[in-house]
Amino acid sequence: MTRQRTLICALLLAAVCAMGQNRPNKKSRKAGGKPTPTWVNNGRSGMTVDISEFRLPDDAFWQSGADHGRDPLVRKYKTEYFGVLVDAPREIALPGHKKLPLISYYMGSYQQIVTRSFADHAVIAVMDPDRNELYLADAEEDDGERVQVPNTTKAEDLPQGWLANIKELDVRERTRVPWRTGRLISQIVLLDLPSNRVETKIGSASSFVDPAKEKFLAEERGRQNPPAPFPKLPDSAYAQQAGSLPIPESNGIVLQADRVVVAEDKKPILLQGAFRLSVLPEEQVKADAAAYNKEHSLTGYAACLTIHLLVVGTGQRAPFQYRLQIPVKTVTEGIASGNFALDLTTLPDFPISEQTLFLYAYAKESATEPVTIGVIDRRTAE
Amino acid sequence: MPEDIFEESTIAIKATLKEDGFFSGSYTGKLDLIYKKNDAEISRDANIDVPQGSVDRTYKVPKVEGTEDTYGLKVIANYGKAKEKTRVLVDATVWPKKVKLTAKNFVGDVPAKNLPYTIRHTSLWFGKTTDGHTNDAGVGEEDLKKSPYTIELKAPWEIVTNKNDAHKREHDLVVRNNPKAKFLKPDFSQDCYVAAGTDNDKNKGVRHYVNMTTADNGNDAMGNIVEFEVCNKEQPQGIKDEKIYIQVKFTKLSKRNLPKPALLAPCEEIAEKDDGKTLTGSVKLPANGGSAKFKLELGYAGGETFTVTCGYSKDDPTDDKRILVSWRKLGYQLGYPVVMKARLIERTRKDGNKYYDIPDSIKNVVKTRLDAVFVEYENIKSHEYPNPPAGSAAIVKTKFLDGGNDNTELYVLDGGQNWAVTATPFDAAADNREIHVTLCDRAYSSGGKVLTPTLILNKQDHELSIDPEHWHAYFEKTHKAVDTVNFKTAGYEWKAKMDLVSAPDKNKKPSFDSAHTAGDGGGERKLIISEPTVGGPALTVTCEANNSISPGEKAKIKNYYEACFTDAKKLRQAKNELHFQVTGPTGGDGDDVRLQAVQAALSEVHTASAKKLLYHPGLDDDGNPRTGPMSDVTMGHTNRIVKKFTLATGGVDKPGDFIGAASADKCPIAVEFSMDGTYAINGNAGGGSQLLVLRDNVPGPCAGTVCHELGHAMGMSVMPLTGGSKYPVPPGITTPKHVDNGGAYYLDGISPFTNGIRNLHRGPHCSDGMPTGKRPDSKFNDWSPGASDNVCIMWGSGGDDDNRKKYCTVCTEILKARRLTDVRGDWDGRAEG
Repeated sequence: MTRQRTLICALLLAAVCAMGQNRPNKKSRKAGGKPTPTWVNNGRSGMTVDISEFRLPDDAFWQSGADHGRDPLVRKYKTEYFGVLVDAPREIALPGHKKLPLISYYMGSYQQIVTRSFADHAVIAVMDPDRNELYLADAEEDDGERVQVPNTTKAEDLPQGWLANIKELDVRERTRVPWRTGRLISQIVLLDLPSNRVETKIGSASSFVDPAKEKFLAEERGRQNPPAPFPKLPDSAYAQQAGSLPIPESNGIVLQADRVVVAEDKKPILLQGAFRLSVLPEEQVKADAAAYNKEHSLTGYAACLTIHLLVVGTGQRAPFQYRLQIPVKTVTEGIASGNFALDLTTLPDFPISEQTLFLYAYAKESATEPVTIGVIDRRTAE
Repeated sequence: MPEDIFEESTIAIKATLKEDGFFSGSYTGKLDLIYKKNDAEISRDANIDVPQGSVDRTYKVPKVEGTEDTYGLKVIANYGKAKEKTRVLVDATVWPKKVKLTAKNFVGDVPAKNLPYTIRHTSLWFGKTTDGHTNDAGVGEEDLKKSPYTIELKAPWEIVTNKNDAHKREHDLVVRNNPKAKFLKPDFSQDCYVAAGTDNDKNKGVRHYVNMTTADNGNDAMGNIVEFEVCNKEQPQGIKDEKIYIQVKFTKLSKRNLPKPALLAPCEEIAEKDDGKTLTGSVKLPANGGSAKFKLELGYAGGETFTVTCGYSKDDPTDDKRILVSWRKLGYQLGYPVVMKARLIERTRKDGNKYYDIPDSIKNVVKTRLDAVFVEYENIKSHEYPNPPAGSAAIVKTKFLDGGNDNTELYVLDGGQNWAVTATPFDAAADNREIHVTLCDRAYSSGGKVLTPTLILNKQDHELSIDPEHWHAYFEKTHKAVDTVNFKTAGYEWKAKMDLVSAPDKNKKPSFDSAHTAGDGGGERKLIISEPTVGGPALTVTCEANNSISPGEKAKIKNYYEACFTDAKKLRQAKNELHFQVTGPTGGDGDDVRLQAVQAALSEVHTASAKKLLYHPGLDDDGNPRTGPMSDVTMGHTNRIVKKFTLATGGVDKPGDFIGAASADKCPIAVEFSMDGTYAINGNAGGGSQLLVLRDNVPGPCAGTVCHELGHAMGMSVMPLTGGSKYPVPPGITTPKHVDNGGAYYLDGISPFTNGIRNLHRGPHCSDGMPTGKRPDSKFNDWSPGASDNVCIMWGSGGDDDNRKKYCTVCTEILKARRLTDVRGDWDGRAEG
């Protein structure tokens, strides 16, 4: 390790240790990634909502012209919930259907709804948990050259009442997710308002399965080497230290960062994470690939897990996605756990500006609630 | 060395002969002189006496025969006793003295009078030329010099044929005056040719539409290959197999290289120079007076100037000239309803037919912007169709959209044009070079959503803005189907907002009264108390002997009173009113006192009671907030945003009777409905169709939209798409750079925002004109051009500011290089970019 890297590591660890005393995001300490995707914890509403008994039957998603304003979810939650809920078919037969319909319900009082523009900030996040691939897209798309209307409304002009903004989406079309047999977990993220996650099985029980092909693909994945750790950090940044977040008791991820950070030149913005996750064959470090492992800084590690970091912010309409590659020393019965601590400013194009950021992490079935970082930008102008 | 002498000249033969060597005495004796022409003896003077060694004679040289150019003449002396001695006395070349020209004009086969000619004596250093003219018979005769000669004509004359087979110095010339080449085709005098310049001078160039399909080998100003036809300028002067040389100079501004501009067969001697900017070749006339054809590949790029010349001079074949400037022509069919006609302009086609078109204020701007990329966009046909029926989705008054009182009807369409129910279909596209433009006054996206407001009203006739933030614009009619009301109320209910009414205002003490009814009280000092509506079985009260009411009897009265609250529903149905009746005899001793005592006891109980009933007009008999169907609420569409809700009255369950600010007898009402939401767009385009909002109030921006959408149809911008939506680079053009490698192009997509992917607009666009510092951000830091900015037409959004005035340099280069034979199909089906 070079002298410079040692210094960075020391700074990083010192800062990480201090984070626990520096107004951490309390809610971020909860383990996310509940295996039942019909649940959502919504900090804004202070409610935990289970939509399972209010979901539409699968057939309803293929009917055109339905008035979803009377859907059970709306009738139940419109006047008492502020946030986004989503529903999607439980199963889509292949071949046959060529889209993944998703109904998004953004609900709240008029006064609440105006604080977060669905058109500007809503992001679809769809996870293929079996391959651990995350696909993103704007929930709203322009159909032509949109006429911009200046927003000059005063608070007192808002009507008294509530609104449900209901949008039918084709997740496949919007995110360009590969259309193949498997599972997809869909969610909409609207800044600090994550929706519930709904899982859809692509391919029905009657779909034809070629066992030889499946075996071939499984073996192929088993031979695949994981990518190098990213971001490239000292080993200690991927190890548990004093002040590290506790490992979740069940599969999941937790994140933690300072609630408010002052962005100054060369000052790190630290993000801590802890996880317990299943390990995919392609994430396992292959012992017989010593040269590859050495070249990719994987020597001494048992696996390198992919955790997707989604960053959205009030000052930007674009979501940012980072594919973190976190190395772990051991894998026990297909499960690995560990920690990481990284400086967000080292991520490519990380959106540092005067705004509030919301960070989400995804891996396989797991997802976190948002970690909120209020950024005060005091960097020297370039 | 032989001397040169003329024919028919007399030569002197002089010599001194010796007997033997140089120092011997003079010869005396006989001498033979032998005359040889080309070593053949032609004459002999024999036995000439030579008295003192001296020979002195003359000889007239014979003519040079017509079959001969010259001949050699030798005079040989044979002398001596046996004439054994030989000496060459003359060795000469005999030249002819005269040449005769008999010239006829190639045109008319008549004598070429006064034909200026030059006899050039090719072996002389001085005085080598002799000039002359033919006489009226076309004959010229000149003295020759002792030299070979050639005959030349002075310009503008030239020799077509020169025959002197019968007599070498009698030349039968066929001559012609001023041979020049000219183009027969293309014929720029035809109406199809339009001057390329603004001075309307076709000689300075015409527009040639390389993307069009020609019906006449490119001689209709269309097609990428043009067949030229050349001949002698005075066509009968053309001579079989003579060459007319071709030269093409073109600007080669575009890097497009497929197909490469080139001279094509049957042009011969094809060559190129100046880095391909100059092409040369030749053609042969197939017959006297004939013409020859050749073809020129212009390629598909626009804005190239081809200066094509022809001539008889190989080095400077510029006798005639044609200048073609490559343009591309695209067309549009225009569809509009009658209601929009007043906002259009009437034009006249060449055939005299009149049609309505986009007003000049917009069209001229479009023309200016497309001129820069050498594209004409012309109206092929206009389709005027009936207005949609009144009240339909597509006919909306201005005041509905914008507020105010303007009753002007506007034609409003959705992005998918589902509302255009009366639109007549466009003609099937004759080819893929045309766009179908549907005009409208306003357009709204088909990318709809459902909004279900729950609004709290507090007036029976309540008008309010239901979308003050303009997040969504929506309509009286749905964008999905014109016969369905956009605002759906079926299945929805209104509901009394009793949670907004304070507890005191909705928990009320009943009203109270008691009345006497004459009758049997049931016995001595007895009276009967009853509440017929909500009370239980009648209560018999027995007064004390002194006609007072004992505490025990008062307790019974209290119990009876409170029992009236047992059935709250019944009490609400009784309007929260308690009407007690006290039945007893009258007129007897103490009857009145006892009656007053019982009534006083009842009143005392009522006054002391804390019993209240949940009672309010907003509650139903069961005490629940009243609710009812939304059919009780009439929705009036004051305008697009402001709605008027009128609540029905005339019954206890009608919300209009009790709506109001929360009070003891009024309460707010929540109404619920759904509506189809959308948002306003300036238009859209795809698959050869364009929806265009006619914004004649802002013609520049409207023209920008036209050019922007047409730009997409023409394949802008170039980004790494695949399949039918890919926009390939024209062959020969370097792939332009995107925002992540130093360029301006970007494409919407999902994270990671690399390789030119950004998170805004829809499709591939160009950010030229945007501050470069914004480019790294995935949304360009939400930058948008202001009124004074100047961005590329292919910037991804437009507003009311005219800030998309031209295609940027990169876009212009690509657009000029495009093969615009297809602006409708997927790129998979478009050849050669």
